Amino acid sequence: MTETNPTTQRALRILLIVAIGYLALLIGQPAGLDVGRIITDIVKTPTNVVQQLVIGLANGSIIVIIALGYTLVYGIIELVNFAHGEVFMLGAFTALMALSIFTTTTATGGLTAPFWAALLGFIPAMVLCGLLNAGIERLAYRRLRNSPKLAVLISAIGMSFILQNIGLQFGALGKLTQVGPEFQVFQVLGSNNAAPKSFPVVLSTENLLGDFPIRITQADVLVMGAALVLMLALNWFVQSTRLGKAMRAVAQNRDAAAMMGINVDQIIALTFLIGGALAGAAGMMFGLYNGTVVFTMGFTAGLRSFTAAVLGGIGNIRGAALGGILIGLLAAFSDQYLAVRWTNAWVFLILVLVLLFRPTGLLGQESGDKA
Amino acid sequence: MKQKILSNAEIIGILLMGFVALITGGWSVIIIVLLIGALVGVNTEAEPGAWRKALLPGAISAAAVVLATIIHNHVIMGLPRQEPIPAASTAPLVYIGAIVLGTAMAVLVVALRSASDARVRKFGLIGLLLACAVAFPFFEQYAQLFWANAIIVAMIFAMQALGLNIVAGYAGMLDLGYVAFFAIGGYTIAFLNSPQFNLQVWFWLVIWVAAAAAALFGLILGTPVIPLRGDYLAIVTLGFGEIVPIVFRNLNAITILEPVSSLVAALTGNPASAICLVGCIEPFNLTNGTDGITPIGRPIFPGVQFVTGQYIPWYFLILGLLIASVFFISRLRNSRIGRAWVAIREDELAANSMGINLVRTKLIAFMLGAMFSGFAGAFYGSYVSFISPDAFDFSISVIVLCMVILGGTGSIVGVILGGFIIKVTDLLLLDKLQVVMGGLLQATLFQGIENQGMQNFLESLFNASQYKLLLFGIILVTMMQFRPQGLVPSTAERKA
Repeated sequence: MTETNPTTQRALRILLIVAIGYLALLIGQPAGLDVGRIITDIVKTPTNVVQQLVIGLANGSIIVIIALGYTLVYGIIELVNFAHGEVFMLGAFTALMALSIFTTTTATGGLTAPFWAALLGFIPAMVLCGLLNAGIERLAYRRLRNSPKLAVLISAIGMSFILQNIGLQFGALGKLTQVGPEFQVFQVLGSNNAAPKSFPVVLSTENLLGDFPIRITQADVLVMGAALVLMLALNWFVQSTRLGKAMRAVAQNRDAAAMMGINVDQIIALTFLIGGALAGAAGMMFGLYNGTVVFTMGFTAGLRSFTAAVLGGIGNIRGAALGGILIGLLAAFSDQYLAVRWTNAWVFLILVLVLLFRPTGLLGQESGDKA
Repeated sequence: MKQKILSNAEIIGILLMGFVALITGGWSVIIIVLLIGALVGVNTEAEPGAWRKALLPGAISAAAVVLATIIHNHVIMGLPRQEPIPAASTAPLVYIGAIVLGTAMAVLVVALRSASDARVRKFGLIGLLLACAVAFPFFEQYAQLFWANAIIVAMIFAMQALGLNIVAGYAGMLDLGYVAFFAIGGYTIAFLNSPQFNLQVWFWLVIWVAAAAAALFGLILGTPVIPLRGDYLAIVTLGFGEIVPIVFRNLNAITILEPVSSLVAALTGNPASAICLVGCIEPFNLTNGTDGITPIGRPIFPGVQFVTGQYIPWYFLILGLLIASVFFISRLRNSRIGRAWVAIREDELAANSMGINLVRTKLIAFMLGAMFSGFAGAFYGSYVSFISPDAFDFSISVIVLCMVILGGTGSIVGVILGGFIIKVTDLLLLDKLQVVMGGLLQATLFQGIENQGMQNFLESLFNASQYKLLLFGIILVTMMQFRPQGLVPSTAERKA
């Protein structure tokens, strides 16, 4: 190796970064990375940037709530709970069914439900998904506690397929509406198993800011508010209760925690319960915000949320919050300024790049032993 | 202790094969008795004169399968909506012949396995298997089973599973984006041998180009991911596997401008002045988006026509490839690099200190796995003559993984068996089951139900082909819980 002085080294590094940047701008163009068009768009309607910020924050809030489930489970048993996205999907279906009890048909033929029904609907979605997630742990992961990590991961993938199939066949209940009026509850599911299901209209789409060019609707406020409440509640639970303390202890060192008299199996089940409940809540939030749910949505939403958890530093609760918001913003801006059909590719690219170059994530240092 | 006539494996085999016979019927009984006979033969301990011990279990197993077939032919065929079976297959002589055939198979397998001549032991079974494989398509055509398509696709997937077995089974890396290489192989042949760019490159060259392209992408992806931990590697490959189909889906309208000129043009408010590099007059269509590319070139062989619907040439071509792959991989497994893979899987640190270059060894495994997948992808594209991004979603990666896990990670025989079981179930048995279930519903429950809506609901609930994902999921979960080494464990696992 020949000695090179620091200045040339620095110059070379800058040159390299410029070259990579130029190449990215060149080959990124089919995927929407066209600086010229992006700048023209921004100059034309600058308020759009703020609008995307709002949309990104709202979508990010949902991603955060799902990502918390990944991060809690990873923090405690180092498992990428692949089935988590599907639990979220089933949560959205549960929420839909809970709402459908109070659904009425409007004069124009659309379906609508009162606001209090939506708030009430959080309860069955959270309870059911919490129990489901804990059940999955008992059924598919507990026996494998001392197996190689990949064995548990494969079991989790299998579980996600099972749940996705349940989501698909759940849609078959919609066919019961043809039987008679006593099955009217299932009208929200439509007549095709696999087709996306529409949520009844709960919130008004009116702009809360009146004629201002930036739209903030009730849905935005509700989703962000719900996310904030859930995050504060989780933070309080983990930091300030005995059970939360036990969870942290098990995450730090399972054997030592067991020796201190903590029932490790119970604490792990509790972690899955909480993660599942959060996924159920996210299902309701997603349905209210986006209006439609479909049985395949768990995979993409799950992978996005997992990306968020990894980006923030997996195993770290605050990291999941940060990562979720960032991924939400990235998706919103990609939808608007890059290209909608490439958004998933951009998110997965972030996943790949973070795992390759900074597997501990942005806030990963704090929990170095877990990441 | 009282000697059991049938071992547990044989009982499970009889139940499963009997179920298959129950839903297929007709001439399929001949194939199923041969399979159950082989199972009994393999399961009997090999020793001189052991063939007598296979007589009774062989006959019982074959008789059970024949009984199931009789139920299909004479009871289930009475239900509405059933597909017709050839009349000749229901003759009593066929049933007696099937029992004899199954027993003979069991006895023959045991006799070959316990032969005193080492060469007979080594090549006897292979010869028997080969004879069955050669006879199969002709019998299939005579018997009008319509199984050939499923078997050919199963062989293509088995080839892919053999490749994943190198990555996951030998080198111990869980690749969840394996479908990406399948897609790259398929698209390579679609670009070079279809009307998309009016290219007709020689088929036998294109498949190697496809394999090489997949291997190259394996190298590009493999280099950065090799040092990652197991679960991170799984997720990164999953991400890659998701990106590749998106790229193929969306590269149908490419326009590339020179970035600096484009930036300047935007800032000066004159977008038209940007320098255009690609797709200037009209956007460049590389992959034809979701519509896919069709038709794709067929193999060229003097005197043989490879066309859709003519299965025999395809069957023998892909059978030959599968045999070549098995030969290649089994040689590889026992070579220096093969032993190095297993050493790494068992103990990375120890392998490293014995002088094995970890990165290089793993990278070779990754590339070889990718190459097999690309090869399989090229043949798949040529066989179905149509490539679209929808054929390459995550479920394909999981299905191939399912084959490896079910058969037995690291075991060549197991992986091929797993491939056949999964793909034949997927393409054939679930549809047959659906037909039988439909008839059963119509004949029983629907008699008491007048309501059309209820009938629709039940039909959809008992629609067997809607439960594919559930089946694969259950296989993965139960195998991991109760038999992680697979149906046919590799020799290394058996010794352990």
